[in-house]
Amino acid sequence: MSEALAYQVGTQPRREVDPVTTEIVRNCLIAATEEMKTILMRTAYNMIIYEALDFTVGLFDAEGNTLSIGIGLPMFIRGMSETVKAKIRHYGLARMKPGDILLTNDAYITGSHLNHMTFSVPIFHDGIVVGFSCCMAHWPDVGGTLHGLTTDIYAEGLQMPIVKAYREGQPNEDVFDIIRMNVRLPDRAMGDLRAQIAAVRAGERRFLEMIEKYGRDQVVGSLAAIMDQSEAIARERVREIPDGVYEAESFMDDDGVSIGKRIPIRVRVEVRGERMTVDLSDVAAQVAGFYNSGYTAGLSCCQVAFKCLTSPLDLPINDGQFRAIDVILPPGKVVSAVRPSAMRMWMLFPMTVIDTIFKALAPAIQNKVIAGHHADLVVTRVSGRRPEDNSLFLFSGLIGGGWGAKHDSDGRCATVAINDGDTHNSPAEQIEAKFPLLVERYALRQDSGGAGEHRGGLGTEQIVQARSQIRFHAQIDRVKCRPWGLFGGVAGFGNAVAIHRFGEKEQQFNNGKAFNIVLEAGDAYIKRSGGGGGFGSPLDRDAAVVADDVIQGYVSKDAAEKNYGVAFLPGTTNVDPSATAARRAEMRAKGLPVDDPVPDEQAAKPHGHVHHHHEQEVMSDEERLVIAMSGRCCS
Amino acid sequence: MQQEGFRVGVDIGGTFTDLVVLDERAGEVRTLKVPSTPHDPSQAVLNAVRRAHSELGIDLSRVTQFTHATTVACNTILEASGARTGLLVTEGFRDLLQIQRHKRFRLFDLAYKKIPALIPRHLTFGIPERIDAAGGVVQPLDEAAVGAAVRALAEDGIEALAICFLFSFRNPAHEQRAAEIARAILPDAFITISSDVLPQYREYERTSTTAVNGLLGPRISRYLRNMNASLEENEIHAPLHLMQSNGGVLHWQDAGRMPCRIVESGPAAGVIAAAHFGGIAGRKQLIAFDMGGTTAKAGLVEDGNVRQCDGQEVGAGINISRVLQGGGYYIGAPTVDLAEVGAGGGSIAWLDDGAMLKVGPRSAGADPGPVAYGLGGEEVTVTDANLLLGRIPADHFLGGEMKLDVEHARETLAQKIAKPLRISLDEACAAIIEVATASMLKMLRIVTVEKGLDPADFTLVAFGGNGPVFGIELADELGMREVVIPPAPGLLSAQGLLAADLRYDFRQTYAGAVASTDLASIDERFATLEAQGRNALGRYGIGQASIAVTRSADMRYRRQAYELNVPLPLGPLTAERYQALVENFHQTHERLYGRRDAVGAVELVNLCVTMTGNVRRPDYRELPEGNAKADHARKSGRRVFFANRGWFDCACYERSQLRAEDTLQGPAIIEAADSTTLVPPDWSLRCDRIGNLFATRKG
Repeated sequence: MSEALAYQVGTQPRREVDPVTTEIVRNCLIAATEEMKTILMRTAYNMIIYEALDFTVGLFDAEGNTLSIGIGLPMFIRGMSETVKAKIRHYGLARMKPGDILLTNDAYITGSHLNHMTFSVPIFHDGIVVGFSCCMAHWPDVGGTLHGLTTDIYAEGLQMPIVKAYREGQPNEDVFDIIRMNVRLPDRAMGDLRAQIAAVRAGERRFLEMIEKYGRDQVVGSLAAIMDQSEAIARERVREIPDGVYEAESFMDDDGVSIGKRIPIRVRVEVRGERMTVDLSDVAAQVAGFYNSGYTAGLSCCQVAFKCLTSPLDLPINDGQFRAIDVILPPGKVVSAVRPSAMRMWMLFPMTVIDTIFKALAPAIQNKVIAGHHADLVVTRVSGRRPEDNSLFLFSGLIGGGWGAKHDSDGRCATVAINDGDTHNSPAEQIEAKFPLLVERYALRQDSGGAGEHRGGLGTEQIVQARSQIRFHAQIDRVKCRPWGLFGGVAGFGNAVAIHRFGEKEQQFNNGKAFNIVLEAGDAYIKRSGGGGGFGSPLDRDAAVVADDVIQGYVSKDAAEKNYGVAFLPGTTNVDPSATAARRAEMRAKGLPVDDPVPDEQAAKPHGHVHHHHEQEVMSDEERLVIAMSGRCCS
Repeated sequence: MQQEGFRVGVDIGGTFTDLVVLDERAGEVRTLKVPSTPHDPSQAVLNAVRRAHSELGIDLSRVTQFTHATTVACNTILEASGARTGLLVTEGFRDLLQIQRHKRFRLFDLAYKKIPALIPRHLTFGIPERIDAAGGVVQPLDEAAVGAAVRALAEDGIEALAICFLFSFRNPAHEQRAAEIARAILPDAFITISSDVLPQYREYERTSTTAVNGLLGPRISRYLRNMNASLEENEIHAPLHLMQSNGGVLHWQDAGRMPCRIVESGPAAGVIAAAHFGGIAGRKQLIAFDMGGTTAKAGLVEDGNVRQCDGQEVGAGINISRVLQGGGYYIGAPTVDLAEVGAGGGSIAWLDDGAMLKVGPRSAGADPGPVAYGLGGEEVTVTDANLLLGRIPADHFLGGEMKLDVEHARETLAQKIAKPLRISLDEACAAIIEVATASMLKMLRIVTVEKGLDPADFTLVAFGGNGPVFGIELADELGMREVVIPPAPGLLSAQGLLAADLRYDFRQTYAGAVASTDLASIDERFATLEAQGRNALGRYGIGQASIAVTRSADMRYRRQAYELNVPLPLGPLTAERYQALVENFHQTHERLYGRRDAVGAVELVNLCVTMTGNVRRPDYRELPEGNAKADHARKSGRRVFFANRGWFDCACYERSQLRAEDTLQGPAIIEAADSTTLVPPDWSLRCDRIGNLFATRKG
């Protein structure tokens, strides 16, 4: 701390800004974005906004740099700034007028899917644009096909280029008419639109109040100072990382079209002094199925990883800290996809990209990284009709999984994947009260956490019985390519989906993709989230801790013997120290255990994949609406 | 009608235990403070009681009411020092307490850890049994499995057992039978079942609450039993009452059975007192602002009613808002809704890596405390800045019991803050005040705007040792026009204990759409809940006439996952009444969320009954008549710094000398033993008949 202080205070000329005003401005920015968030959550029409927090609000400077944002999900760290910059390029500040509100959902600008409608207000003070107040929210429906996998953007719904939704305070009815004609739920869309406009106006109001109170120069100076401080601290933290070039590779199972064809994620990170460069040039090219995301998402991956590693707790999200990181990302990659690639499931692959950056940097900053995690929301979609009144229902549930272990501790168990955050699971008592389902089991998966000196977190298993006929769908990845270990730690279990028909054996779905499976009363579907990878050799794990894991049931006795080399006194959970030492020595000599996160089965046989030419069902309007609304980020 | 005597309130805080006595005949309130005794909190209570007798001359045998607020339950959770507790759950759900709600509360923190499970996995047993959403038995209770599990837990030496089966709020038979089996094996254990503790849906929250109840049970019931016996020994025969998290009190025996309900008893008492004194000043729309040594808290009072929430989380650190909170142990007990920030008198001012000034959330507490206490504290606090700016007196702190070391504070502040920032000492002090103010403003704004309210429509009630120092300045910044500073604001929680009613809350899940044929059975359920309440209150001598009953319902739109509470008038639930209830729900939803879904199906989720045994409000003695100038209370003035305004020559007043209807003009400062009140320029202040200070903005 004292060193950083000297750097800032002693050797650099201080800006002419008052540190107290700066701290107050910082608090005002946070309060303003919190207020925007509150207004959006209170007035939005759709549940995704206030329950899954699928939105971003924020304030930006006149060049579109992030000053302060309130995000529900980490991957939104970048999106709105790039969108504001695109809007500035499109119109130029000179063609913006007080009272204008700019709108777009261009997937190749936001980097995500078309559901992300983004509104921006240029904030004028004395006739000059001093900043932008913006709000992105996930609309439940933007049109597009309801039939499973998409392979281009045109099938995914309404594309809104950069337009003025309001011109000098007047609504642009043409734009509203286009929206109303292209979405399945025009009233809800208009409701969300109004909520977003209320939010951006609140941000504008608070920003202007701040300028009135402290003066434009003081505020602008404070904002610059906040960014400069963040940058200085971020650079200081990069300097703590040893210089070098760090590389890593991982794989996704497939793109939903070529089943079993692995998709490589290769990253290269270079650290030189106070700069970090992340090179994603060798990430796979964009794919045929809807797992692509845009350039902005590729940037987000790098910034999320950077923030996790350099300032997870102490810096507010602004662009100052990101001046210390450069990203090399040519167009046409799976995280810099270009038109017309399909984007609906944009957020799935980036989770593994982030994990792979941690993996690359592991040799440099062993104490900061974690091993691989389950990296999927493990969402399933169930639809059917309630026996009591024949009403249609749709239930979209997700479960948490295991996280990677760290240098000093075991991974977290049963926690939602990195691209979601404050998202809760559905209580069994709620599921059963609303739907003809019975949750038989929701529990930790024994042995799912990768073995290691520090064990990976455990995934979960949920078994749900149908009490009347249902249809079941799942699109889950990282089934085959499991969460890897670090420094001798072993991979955890992958994600998995299965069904268990009454009186038959359990049936697994290859690569986690199950489309339109009909289950009868008494049948069950099963989803299992992966466990985190281990950290350090399992042979170095304290045998007493392994024994406690066995007593608690996190690790089976078999696995304790096989993976950790622990021997127990016959018929007990008491460690036999000498037998353990002998077994461990023998395993070490044989180079055991071996981490093998990516099974060697290139191009697995396409196995019952009826997904992209399944029968065109005749759906009622009601069914269309319910299914249209079921999508959310990464579901 | 009870005989007139003395009412006693005792509030155990981290540093001091406060005792307040009301002489019911004279309407006079006396106070005293003794050091808390964390190793055995009841010791401080008895010390206070003995001093009340010896120093204040209170005849203990004439105590008619003894009400207690305590941090013992909360600390037991924070310190993980609860009883060794076993847990029985439905088979397949053994990991509920590990899985929790699977959220991540800090998005970028790879080192983020969930709170450890309240009860470890090896003390948790899944029992074959199943009840479905309609209350039907899908699988009968495996009684042999219960017996085997309890015997295994007995071997493990458990003192308490919590039982939580799925859908027990629909049909408690399995839980009740399992408890019976367990009691036969473990006759001395504290056994608690979820259908008693929280008969509501959401299995994680219900299990967590029941587990907390089990963990607290043995220690709290022992603590209360011993205290009751000690009070008896000291000739106090009034029943021992405990403040609950919801702001009502209950009998110690009930508190011993349901200790999960008294976790937030101190803060709740403060807000109850704020509502009480705000009410005396004729105001019903209030923001209760409590600033102590470590944190500042804010709660809302609307139309005289303290805003509640259905639950709280303990152990996740400071939460600025219940909406934004997360990560602690969930306790599903009605709780006064409080926002909190780490800004108190003891909050430490520091420079971060970027040489920017920060205040809090770390606090110097009371020991070593601020630099000026001279107890070895070397970190600059808000109190040090207040002292150097003349905002609190150097010679009158804690009524003169503690002399503050101005010189040392000045040197330390210059060295640690002013010099590195290259600003003057005055500027550095002002900066600390302004930064602390900014974070409290953020909290107060969020408390109101989060609910769609405008702070300007409220009166601020400022209390806690530091509340009156900052209260009026904060109100001014928020565009508020009125501030009430109650008598003895530094001991307000203890005073709240004197004014609180007995209160029992019942809530039971109904969960479903309502058909006209269901109305009679809903009525019956309400009647059953009310009978339970009347019984409880009757046991403690509350006459039927002074029992107030309110009914309400938690309702939601069919596709929603969260409910709103809507009041329901008493009387048979006719079709019209139910229609009115639904309409009321639509309106409430529209007010809070800006919209209604007139065609959407509305579900009745929980039936709620609150039974209140009204306690007679204290009659306070009226002060002698004063004048427009308050000359009789005036002492020599000094220079005082006001945030955003600068230095002013200030008139100084002694609060204890103020009389009814005295009026004074800001800038002014009013000193009292327990706190100092700052009246900025543009504000005037009047003392009312019982000694409430009522400040208003001029113009």
